[in-house]
Amino acid sequence: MKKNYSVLRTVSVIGFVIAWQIFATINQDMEFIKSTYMPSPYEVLLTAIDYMKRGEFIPSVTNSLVRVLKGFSIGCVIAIVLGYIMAKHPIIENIIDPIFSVIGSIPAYAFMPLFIIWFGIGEKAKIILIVYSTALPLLSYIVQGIKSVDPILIRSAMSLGANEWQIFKFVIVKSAMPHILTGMEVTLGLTFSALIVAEMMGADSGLGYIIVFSRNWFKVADMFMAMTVIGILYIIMKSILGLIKKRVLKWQNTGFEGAVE
Amino acid sequence: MVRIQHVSKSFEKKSGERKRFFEKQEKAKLGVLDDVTIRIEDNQFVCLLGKSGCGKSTLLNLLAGYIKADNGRIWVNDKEINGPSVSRGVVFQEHALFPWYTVRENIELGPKRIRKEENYKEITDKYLNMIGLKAYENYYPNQLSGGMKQRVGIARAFANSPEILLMDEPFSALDPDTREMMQNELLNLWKLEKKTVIFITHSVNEAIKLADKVVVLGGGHVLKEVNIEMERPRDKQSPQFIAYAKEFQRLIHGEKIPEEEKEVNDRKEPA
Repeated sequence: MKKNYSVLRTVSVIGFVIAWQIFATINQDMEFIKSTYMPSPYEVLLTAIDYMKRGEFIPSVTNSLVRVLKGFSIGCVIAIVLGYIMAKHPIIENIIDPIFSVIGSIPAYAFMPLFIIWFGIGEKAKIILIVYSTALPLLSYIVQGIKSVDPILIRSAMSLGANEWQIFKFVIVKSAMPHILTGMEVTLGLTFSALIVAEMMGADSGLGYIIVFSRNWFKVADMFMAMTVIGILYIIMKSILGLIKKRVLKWQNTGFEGAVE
Repeated sequence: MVRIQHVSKSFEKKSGERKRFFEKQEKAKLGVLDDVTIRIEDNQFVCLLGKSGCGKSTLLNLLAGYIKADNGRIWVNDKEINGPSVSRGVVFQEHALFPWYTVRENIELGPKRIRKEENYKEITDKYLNMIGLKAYENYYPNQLSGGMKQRVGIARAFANSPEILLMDEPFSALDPDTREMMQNELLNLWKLEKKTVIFITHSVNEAIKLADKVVVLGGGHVLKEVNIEMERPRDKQSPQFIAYAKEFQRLIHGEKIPEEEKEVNDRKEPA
C-alpha cells in the first residue's frame, strides 16, 4: 500500500500561510522590510475581495487561464507530433535536434520582445511564446518516451495483425505515456513562467499585467495577490494533470514505494 | 503446411575493434542458419530442439516474419512469408503482454480493436474460461504470477485464431512444477483446437513430452528429425521416453552429457 501523505501536505501549506501571517505581523513593529511592502495573507485576501467587488478579478483570472490552456494544449500536440516524427526518422531527428539545442539554450523570455515586433502586441505573440516554451522542453521527453518502447511489444502487436496506426495507438502512445505525462508536469511550470512574462510585456489584462501595473504604483498587496493566484492556478492545473496521470497510469506500480514496504 | 526450404541467415558480427578510416571494412558474418529445410504438416505439433545459439530462435523469428532470410524461402499454405501476419500467432518467452491493458483487454485486443469482430466478447470469455483466469480478467499483467502471464499470452494468441502458433521457449522462465502444469494445459488446448504448433525449447524432456515431431538443430543445421511414436500422456519413466531422451542428448551435446543438464533432468523426475 502506498502511504497517503495528503494530510501532511495540506498541513504544510497551511503552516506556511500561518508563518507568513506571523512574520508580517511582527514586521509591522520591527520593520525588517518597510511594512507597507510586506502585506500579510489577510491583507492579500482583502485585496482580492476588493478586486472582486470592482469586477476585475474574474476577467483577469479568465484571461490568464485561457492563454495558459491554449498555449499548453497547442504546445503538447505539436511536441507529440514532432516527437513521433523525430523518434521514427533518425535523419530528421539529427537535423532538428542540434538546431533546437542551440535555440533552446536561449531563455524563451528573450524572444518576447522579438515576438511583439513580429506578431504585434495582441494575443498572437503571447500564445506563440507560451506554445514555444511548452513544446520545446516537452519534445525531448516525448522522443525519449517513444524510443523506449519495448520492440517485443511492437512485434507482439504486429503478429496480432495491427497496422502502423494501430501500433501507434495501442502500443507506442500507451508505452510512452509515463514519459509524456512526466514531461507535461515538468513543462507546466515553464508554461506558467512564459504566461507571466508574456503578460508583463505589452498586455492590458491578466495576472502578469496586474503585477507590472501594481509595481508602477507600489501597490505591493496587489502584486502579492496576483502572485498567489498564479500559484493557486498552477497548483490546480498540476493536480488535474496528476489525477489524469494516476488514471492513465494505474497499470504502473513502480518506484521506491512499490519496491519496499 | 509449412515448408522451410534451404533457408540461411547470418548476422553481422559486432566487432569491438574500430576500423581505421581507409581500411577496407571486412564485415564478419556470423552464420546462424545454414541451408535449413523442414516440412511441417497441418495440425502437427513440432518442437525445434537445440541448445542456445543453435539458431532456433532465429528460425522462429523468420517464421514470424520479423526478420528476412538471406537465402531460401518459407511457405505457409502455399503463400510465401512476407512480414508478420495475423495467421501466425506468436507466444514469447517474456510473455510480451501489454502492461497497460488488463488480462481481458490483452486477449480482446486482436478480436475487438484490430480485427473488429462482432462476437469479440464471446471469444474473449471463451479463452478466459479455458485458461481459468476469468476471475482475474481485470488484473494488470504485473499483478499476475509468471505462469498466469504466460497463460494470458497463449490465450491472446489463440483468440486471434491463427493457423499456426509459434512459441518461443514460452515456459523456460517458469519453475518446474508450473512448467509441467502449463505443458499439460497447452496440450489440452491444442487437442480442443487443433492447429499447427511450432514450439522452441532447449529442454529434451519438454520436446518429447509435447511434440509429434522433434527437429534437433545444432550449429545452424538440422541434425535430425524424429517422430515421437508415443501415446499422450507420455510417461517420463517409460523406456521409450528415456531412449528418445538419450538419443537427443547425444545429438545435442555429443557423447558427453553435461552435468547441468543431467541435474535438471534428474530433478524433474518424480520420486
